[in-house]
Amino acid sequence: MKQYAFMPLIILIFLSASLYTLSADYFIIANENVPENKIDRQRLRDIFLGNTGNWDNGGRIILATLRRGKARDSFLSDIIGRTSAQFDRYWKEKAFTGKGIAPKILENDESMIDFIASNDGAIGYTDTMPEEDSKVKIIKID
Amino acid sequence: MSKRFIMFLLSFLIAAVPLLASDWLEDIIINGFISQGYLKSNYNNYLARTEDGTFEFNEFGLVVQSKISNRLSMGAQLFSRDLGYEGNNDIVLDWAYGDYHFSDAFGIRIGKLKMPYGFYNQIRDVDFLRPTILLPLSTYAEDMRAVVGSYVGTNLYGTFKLGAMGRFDYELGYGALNIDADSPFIKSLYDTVSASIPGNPEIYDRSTHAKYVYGGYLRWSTPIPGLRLGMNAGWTTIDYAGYADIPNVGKARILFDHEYIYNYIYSMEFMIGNLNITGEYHTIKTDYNITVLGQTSTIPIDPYGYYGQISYRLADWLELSSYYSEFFKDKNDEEGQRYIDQGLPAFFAWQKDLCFTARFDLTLNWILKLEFHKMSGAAFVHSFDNPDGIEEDFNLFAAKATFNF
Repeated sequence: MKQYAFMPLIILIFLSASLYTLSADYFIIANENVPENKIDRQRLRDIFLGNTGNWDNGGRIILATLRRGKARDSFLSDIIGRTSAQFDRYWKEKAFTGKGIAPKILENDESMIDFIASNDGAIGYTDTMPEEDSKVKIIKID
Repeated sequence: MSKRFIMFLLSFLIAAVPLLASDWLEDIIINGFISQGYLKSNYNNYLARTEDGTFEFNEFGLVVQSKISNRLSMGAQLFSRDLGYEGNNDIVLDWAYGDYHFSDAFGIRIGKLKMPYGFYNQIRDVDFLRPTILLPLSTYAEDMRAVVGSYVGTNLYGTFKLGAMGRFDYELGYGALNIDADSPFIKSLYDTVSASIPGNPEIYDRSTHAKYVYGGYLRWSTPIPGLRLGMNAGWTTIDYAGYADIPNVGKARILFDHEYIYNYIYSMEFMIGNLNITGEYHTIKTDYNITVLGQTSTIPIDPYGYYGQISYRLADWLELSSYYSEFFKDKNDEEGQRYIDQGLPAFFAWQKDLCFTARFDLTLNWILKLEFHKMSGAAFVHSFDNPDGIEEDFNLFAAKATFNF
């Protein structure tokens, strides 16, 4: 039986890897000058719902979101707790009452990375992990 | 809001542009919407000439806003609408303000502002932001738009994060009310006062004036995911004046006022997945002081109403909603005895509405809604719209298409 003693550990490692894969449906990315490298879920939610308008250093937060796709659905469900339609309606309500400027909508990962890299204080998410030389940083979820 | 004021504001903005840094011009965001609706009732003209069916039901809005600095932003909406006697597609400055955001807990807005009043008042002009075409009349009666639309003044706002206890959002406003004296609601008030004067004479050379309005809301996003509770409070006073030719007396000055109007709304929203449940209870405390020929009489009146609404999104393109709403003109006279005493039907004292809506999101920008209302009572059905009489029960069909960008 001794040869099976490590089985629980192997299963645990396998499950952890599976869970990591599940949680990696999206990657939170930010402009390199954003002062934070790790953000907790609540703050991330506040940021993407416009309840927090500035970074800790006073710099303006610029939001970006993908128009559609698995990453968008996973991110909105996992972090924001809203469906895609509810998120759109929430931001349109802000925009049409002058209480906020809706996130920039981008069509794909490539344009998202370009936008984040070229706008100070920008934050968004992608479906695939950005390449190392893409001039954006990956934000860890605390 | 006069066209002259809009021209002044636009001229001011155009003149100010060269004086300001040009960077923010690159960040100007423009959004807009166009709605066209249709209304048809089997009995009673309600909101417009609905018995014959009417397309006098549209809205256009253009929003311009920009972030000028990390903390300062400004925006404005030009708006036009038509609903029966109201709007007639005059272009108005619906809201326009500068917003300085000191911190998440405190910001200030100055300008022409939408009244904080229940969950939906600030977005009531924007059809595609709500599940139904007509909002529940217990809180958002179209007639009341003349009084609760917007004000010129200031507004403090912010958010307090309470960790495990959730979050509080607040808005506090103070300013001067803009009242449209030709709106059906104000017109119906003059008619009510006229009915209390011997000979029922028409009141002419009318003037309506609101001294101030202050109020705000507090909303608690509770620790229970998706559950939000809110409370609104608002206070104002309104003066009305005019003349009437009274039989055997001649021309007489007519004065009446709401010495106070206290407005309270208690709100609840629960959102889980594609299901959204909303309810609001609305109560008003006010009185009429009516002065005719130097004699003043006071009529206390406490209107109230409530609604419960449920919406479920079945697919990206389809959402079904239903609400039931009840409104009573006076909490102390729900049976309408006051109207019976005047020889009028008791059902003038209330209005009840059962509504079903299908919303079709045809594309990201195009929305179509179809709606059915089963109405009972005539609190907001006006005699001047229905010279041949008013029925207690009637049905209303509404359809509306909206394009937004």
